[in-house]
Amino acid sequence: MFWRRNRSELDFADEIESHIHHEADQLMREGATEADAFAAARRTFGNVARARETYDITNRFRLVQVFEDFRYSLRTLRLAPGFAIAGIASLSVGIAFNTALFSTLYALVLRPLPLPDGDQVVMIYHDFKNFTRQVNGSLDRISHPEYLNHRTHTRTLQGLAAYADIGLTVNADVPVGAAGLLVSCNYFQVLRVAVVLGRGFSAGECESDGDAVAVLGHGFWQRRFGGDVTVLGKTVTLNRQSVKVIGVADPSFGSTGLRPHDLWLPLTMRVRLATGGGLLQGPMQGGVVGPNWRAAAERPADHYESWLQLIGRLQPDQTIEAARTELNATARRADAEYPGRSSSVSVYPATRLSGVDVHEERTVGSLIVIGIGALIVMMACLNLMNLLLARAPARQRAVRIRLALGASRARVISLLMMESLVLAVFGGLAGLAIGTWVPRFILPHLPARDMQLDFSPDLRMFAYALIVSMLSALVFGLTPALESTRVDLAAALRGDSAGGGRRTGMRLRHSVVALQIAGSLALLVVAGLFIRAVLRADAIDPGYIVSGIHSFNADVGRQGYDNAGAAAFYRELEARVRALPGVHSTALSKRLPMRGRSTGELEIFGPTPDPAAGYRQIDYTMVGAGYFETMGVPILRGRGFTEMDARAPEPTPAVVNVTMADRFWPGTNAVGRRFRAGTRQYEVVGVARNARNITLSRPDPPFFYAALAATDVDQTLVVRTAETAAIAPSVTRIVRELDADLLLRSNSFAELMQNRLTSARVTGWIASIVGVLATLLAAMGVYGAIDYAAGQRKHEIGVRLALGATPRDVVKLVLRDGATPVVLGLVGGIGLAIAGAQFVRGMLYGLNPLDPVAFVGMIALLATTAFLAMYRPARRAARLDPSVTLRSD
Amino acid sequence: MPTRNAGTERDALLQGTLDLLILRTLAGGPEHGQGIARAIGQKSADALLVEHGSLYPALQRLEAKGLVRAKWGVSLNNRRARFYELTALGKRQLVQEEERWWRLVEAVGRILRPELAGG
Repeated sequence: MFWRRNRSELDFADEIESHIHHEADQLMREGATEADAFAAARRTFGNVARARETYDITNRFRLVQVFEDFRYSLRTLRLAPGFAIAGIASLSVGIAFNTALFSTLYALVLRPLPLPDGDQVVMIYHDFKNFTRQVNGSLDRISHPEYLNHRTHTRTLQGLAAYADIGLTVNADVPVGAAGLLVSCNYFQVLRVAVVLGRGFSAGECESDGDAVAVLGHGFWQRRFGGDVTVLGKTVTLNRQSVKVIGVADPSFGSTGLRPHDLWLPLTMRVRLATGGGLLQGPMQGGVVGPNWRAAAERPADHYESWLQLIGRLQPDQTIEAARTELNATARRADAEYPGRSSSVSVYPATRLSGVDVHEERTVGSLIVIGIGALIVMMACLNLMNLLLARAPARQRAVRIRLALGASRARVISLLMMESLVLAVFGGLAGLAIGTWVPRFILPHLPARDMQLDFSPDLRMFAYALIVSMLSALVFGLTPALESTRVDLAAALRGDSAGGGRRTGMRLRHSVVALQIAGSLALLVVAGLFIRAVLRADAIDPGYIVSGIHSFNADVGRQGYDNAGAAAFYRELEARVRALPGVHSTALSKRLPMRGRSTGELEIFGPTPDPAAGYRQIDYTMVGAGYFETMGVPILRGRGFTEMDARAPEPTPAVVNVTMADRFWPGTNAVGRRFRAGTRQYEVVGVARNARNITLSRPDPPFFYAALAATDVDQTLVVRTAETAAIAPSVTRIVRELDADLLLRSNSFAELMQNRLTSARVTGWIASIVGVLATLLAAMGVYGAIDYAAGQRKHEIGVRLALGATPRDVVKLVLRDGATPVVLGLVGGIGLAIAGAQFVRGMLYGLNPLDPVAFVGMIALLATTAFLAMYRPARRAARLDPSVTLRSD
Repeated sequence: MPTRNAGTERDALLQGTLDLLILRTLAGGPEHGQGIARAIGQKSADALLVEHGSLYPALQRLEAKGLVRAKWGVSLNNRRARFYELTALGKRQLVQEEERWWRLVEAVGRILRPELAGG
């Protein structure tokens, strides 16, 4: 029939439904009972079969039907705006959070680098077993000969480049630091980065006698040379070496990692730039690794030291898999030269994060964020499910009519699912918009704002958000749809408003509420633990007298000082600083606490009760005379270091912490005992009170301080002073007098300690925001469930009120009904929270993961919120007018 | 219990008259399907039976011809209902149909009762 295009069968079914209701209303006004009225109305409607035939209510799926369902859903949602807004809002919160997480992850680990044919660019990592070597940087690095070996033999890669970070000081009136990258001379060709001014490196510049040349980063060129186009051929002094500028790189290229580089230099300039024994200053301090160090140290230096990272470009017709196979084969052939070594090579697509050492703490941190994200999406979806369930009774009439008219259950379910899909589309789009825009506003305010991360939305993100929202709508919409269509047709025809499935509907809603409460509690408790931990961390006793300590570190290693020169410089500096007014004491140290450590294999000489003593690794640091006094760490037995110890022959004097003394020499005096750590032997001269050297979050395991050798080039001067404001300018002035080219870094120890807390603070903040969101969602869920339950019991409540129950009794009745899922949820949530607390325990600065304040406080908070959410529907139920409720259906 | 088909005396409508009755009913203002059926039944003192299975096809027909238009609204007893109202075309059509009806009645009457025709 020609008009069928204009009206959907669903619209028609609605009209029939409306008709039957009106007829039944009329009959009831005329005195019929509700059941009779409906039965009669249906009979009167007459030839349903013919009407169905006329309007072709079939069970076939047609495209036009999908479209009609869509329009129908739009209309029903427009007629229930409160429901629609609540549904879209809760979904969009979930999707927004998820999108933000995904876009961050995507920018970090999935998005290819913004290079021409960026998907061809791969990072190559080595993993060696049973291979002793000197490592500068992370363990996956390799030596220069190994790089050349790969480069010679590869057929799957069209180019293979090697690089390593180098810290540079630009010598000028005021010396400044710069981020340099030593690169193989094919680096720019392999990455296809254009050198917009001048030229890139030629192969000859990577020969051992190559010229000292550099390509400037665009930003550095602008800052340092004001964008001067005549810069080519000029020299810049880096680490006291004159280096000729030969080019400026494309402004769009900063680096393959997170932070841009200022200059690129040929690999072979490393020796000239890092003179005086100081090697590279990478993000991670390396050391000798592996069991057989003595034999390894006899290898030629360039084979013994691993310091290069690899980046390559696949041939257009080659896969990562093929490259992996080939590079592994090459590495295994090379294993023959290193007895016992077995190597394996992994190849990954190059992304922002693949070049960065990912530390354990950061991994745990992001796992927590991802876990929280998954939870919040769950909460949002549960909320949507709750809302859909709440609509089930309202939809049941419509569903029954359709079923009675002969529509199949599947057909009706598909219609109801369309409703959730419409919600999903709107919620997903809103969430995507929020999730992509919000990071843009937040990122500029984060400390990582100079990171080169691309958050611009792209198709994959769009697809991701859409898929997540569709999936959640389907998964969480299906149960309510099944619920709504589980109708007892006989009861429906009798006009029994209770229908089927009311009990199960209630049970379902209760479980949803319980789940929501449980999830919220877990999030709140974790947030509470973080907040408590940060508050507590401020009060942690790190074992030092923190205030008044300042540290100074000059880049003598970069400036051509040899070991003796560096030692002389620091001795002189220390002497002059000690004479400053207000300075109480000074000391030299290899590094500051919690800023890295040295590690060696431990062997205890003489009797020790600890059976594992010979196999464990032990952490240590090197400090000079006056260190314990300056840092405020008391010596409990024996003595601290003196000037003499710096030149003491092996065994080197050592001060051990109390934990180490108690572990290996319990009940006896540790002073005078000997042990080996790594390649050196030590003799204990004192026992110091425990102080935190490794991390602020936990007390140190066994740890010792070795006497700092007078010949160590890399040192830090620590100063305890009463004149905290004057000390930095004074020391800067002294350093300039000693050597105007030196770049001085100065820090207050208290500030450094505060920075250590940042990650816990940020995680705490995120957890708190998410916890509050989850609580709001849970409150909405509880409110909806109670409102629904009270609505279902209107008749009963009306009867009770008519029989003399007070509003107070009704409030109690409704609250008791709603309390069950809340209590169940709280109990389940405690279990979930305990599991979550175990997961984050390492980040809690020693706070008991079962901290009663966080647990009890958050349970109370959530219970109160749930109660408040229940109270309004309960009050409303108590205000029901029995004369109205008993008459109406 | 009063139901529509309890009485046996009620007559089925002549072909084509349902459209006219619907248009006439709607001349009093917008009404929904059940209201139209009710009104026809009541005004004919329950003599005429509107079978709902034919009411809605008729309404569709009228709507398709542009004689009535429909939109969803809320009825007096606060339920959603699809209200029909006459279009301008429908009003003209009602006048014509009514005239046609009376001409028909007159013609048929003359044949059945010739004595009344002249008088």
